[in-house]
Amino acid sequence: MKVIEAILILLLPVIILKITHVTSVLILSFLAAGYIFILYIMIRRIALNSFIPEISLLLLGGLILGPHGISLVDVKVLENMNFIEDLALGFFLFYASRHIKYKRIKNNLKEITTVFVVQTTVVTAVSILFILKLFRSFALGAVLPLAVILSSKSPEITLAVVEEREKENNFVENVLGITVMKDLFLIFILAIFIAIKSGSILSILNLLFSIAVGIVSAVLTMAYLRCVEKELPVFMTLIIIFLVLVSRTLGLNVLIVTLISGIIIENFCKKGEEALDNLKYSFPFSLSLFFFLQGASYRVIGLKSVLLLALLLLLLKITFTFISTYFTLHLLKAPVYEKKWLWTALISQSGLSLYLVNLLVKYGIIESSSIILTVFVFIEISALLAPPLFKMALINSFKRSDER
Amino acid sequence: MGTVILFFILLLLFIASFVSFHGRKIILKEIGFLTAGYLLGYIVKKFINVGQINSLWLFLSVGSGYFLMLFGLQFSRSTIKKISRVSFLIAFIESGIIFLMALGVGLFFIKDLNLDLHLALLASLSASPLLIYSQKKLDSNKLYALYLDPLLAIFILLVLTLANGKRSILPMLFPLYLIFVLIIVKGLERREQEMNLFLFGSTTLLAGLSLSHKIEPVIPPFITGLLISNLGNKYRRGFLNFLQNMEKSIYLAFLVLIGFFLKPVFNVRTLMGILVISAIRGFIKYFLFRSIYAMIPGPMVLAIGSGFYILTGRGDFLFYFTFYYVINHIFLLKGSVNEGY
Repeated sequence: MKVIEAILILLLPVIILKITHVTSVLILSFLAAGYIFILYIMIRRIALNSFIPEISLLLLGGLILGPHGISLVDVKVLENMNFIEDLALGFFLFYASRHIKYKRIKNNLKEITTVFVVQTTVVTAVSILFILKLFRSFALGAVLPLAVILSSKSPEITLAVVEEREKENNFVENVLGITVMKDLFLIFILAIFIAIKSGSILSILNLLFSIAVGIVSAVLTMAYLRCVEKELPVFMTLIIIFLVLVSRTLGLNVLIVTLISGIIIENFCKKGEEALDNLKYSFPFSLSLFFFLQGASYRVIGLKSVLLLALLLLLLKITFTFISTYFTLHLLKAPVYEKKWLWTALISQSGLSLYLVNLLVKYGIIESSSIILTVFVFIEISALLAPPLFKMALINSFKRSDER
Repeated sequence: MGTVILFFILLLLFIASFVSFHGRKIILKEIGFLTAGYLLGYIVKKFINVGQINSLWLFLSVGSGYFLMLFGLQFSRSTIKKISRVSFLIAFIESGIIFLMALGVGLFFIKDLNLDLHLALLASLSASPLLIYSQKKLDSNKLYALYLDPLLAIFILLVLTLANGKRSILPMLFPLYLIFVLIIVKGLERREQEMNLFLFGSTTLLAGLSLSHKIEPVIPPFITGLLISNLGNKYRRGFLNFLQNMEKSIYLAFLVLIGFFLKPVFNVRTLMGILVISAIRGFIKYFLFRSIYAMIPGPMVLAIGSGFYILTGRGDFLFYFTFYYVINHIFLLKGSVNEGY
């Protein structure tokens, strides 16, 4: 496909949409969704033969076409598609959770736990020192949760890059093991901290409820799968829609609910893998919609004022993530490519981190708008830059496994 | 806490209904899926605001566009050549008679002319192509005649659209752009996921454009299918196979989605009108084709019906169309549902 032809394909609908002067938010949402799907075909072609993963291009596409770019998807459309975005996340995580296999993770549990503990402790400690040094006026009580967020990562980005390669090896298993363990642990720590700070146990209850809803829905789904084998794609689709609706209504975390539910079904149900495979058709839609809308919702106003600081934070995170994982894996006598590349999987941040920041803002733990903006920009930059590094690492690791 | 418990009780109920509906001898599968969808919608509407629920129309429009695109794809030049003039004549006369009959009966029972016109259009449609194809007993002329039925409905919709001069025809030109995409993006037919993205992306874009120009959202997807079938010949087979493989799942999900949006309206006069139309229609169909399968309306009824619903936003339309659809499926109780799908 030539460049001019590709540009024509992408620009024509935008021009048509601009000249038709559509004002209905519902119709604009239809048009945006349709356009995202067509755009994703192009993105897949570009990503196929390059080190740039699909999600980086989707995030970038969202940023360019979103409210801060040419405004094909404006703020009202984004708000209207908020529910669709959650649905997309639910479908995406449910399907992608089939990569997280407890039996395989169990074999490398020592390595996974050690890397997770060392890396999290080092990055959190360094972040605390950095924040205290940089923001002298910063309330001491807010330092720890902010540092926790800086050291967290994004399970959805990791899963999306893994899914794009459609392959698994020891490296992938370790990465996914660390990702799940780390994120659940950090969310839990943060929930406890917010509970102490705000004097209310609501945040802990919210987390526990999210986990409980995930477990209960998984058990019910497993019971259903034991009795019925027919029309599984329809049933799985409905279960996810239902879970997302329940989560939204009760103010639970969609990510935790669907991820927990998916992992349990995959690992504790005989027909789990088959059931999750039925969501294969929905995967490209959920992936493209979710990451495009995420990109479109990124904040760029005032970016210049905090860009340098955000880049500095990212550099700090990369440096200490690399040092801590390299030396831990060196002591554990892990393969060379794992030592060199595992850090790439631990720096990406996206939806989960944004959710955690919003939680801190909601409970009044962070109030300074410049700090909030810095953290948002830090997360957004890492979401754009980290996936290509991780994809390169994955390609490299697969080459090594094939050579063996 | 009470809300959480209520949610789980309703979830259990929903799953239980879903499981029990698989026993085909107890109840029609179609009714099972519609009821499961209705139950889901009933729960959800209690807790979620209308704006967010309306964003699910997206899936409804994609589903309806999908069936029309599939229908359009089946009309390649070579297929049309195979169909005899007799088939065209039977289809035209048979669906024309039913259309006029339904319009007349409807005028007596149903006071809403708009609803009557749309019901008459839906009554003129026949069974799904798959169901028709499974009936080897019918001779080829009659088989193709049933197959061609929706053409008249689409033609009437097209005339109605063009007759309204204020409406732009941009959505009807948009399929040409999609053909352009197909020609440029090479190798699409070999990549299943990309084909999937193209089809659903096209139908969603087309639905959005149609709604913004107040055109029935089912016409542009039909034109697209027709164009792909005749201009992008190398894609036709791939698309057709792919869509037919997914037809059953989409049909069932579509039923659940329609159930989700259902709002029962018990206007006895209108319901009586629908019963009378169904009875006369059933009689005419059986008289002409001597097969109960000719009497069953296909998913096209739901596709076009939900198109009307999306365009007008009238919940009563969707309920009456679904009522008509279910009532006419009672004939299937005599046979097996699996023969349909």
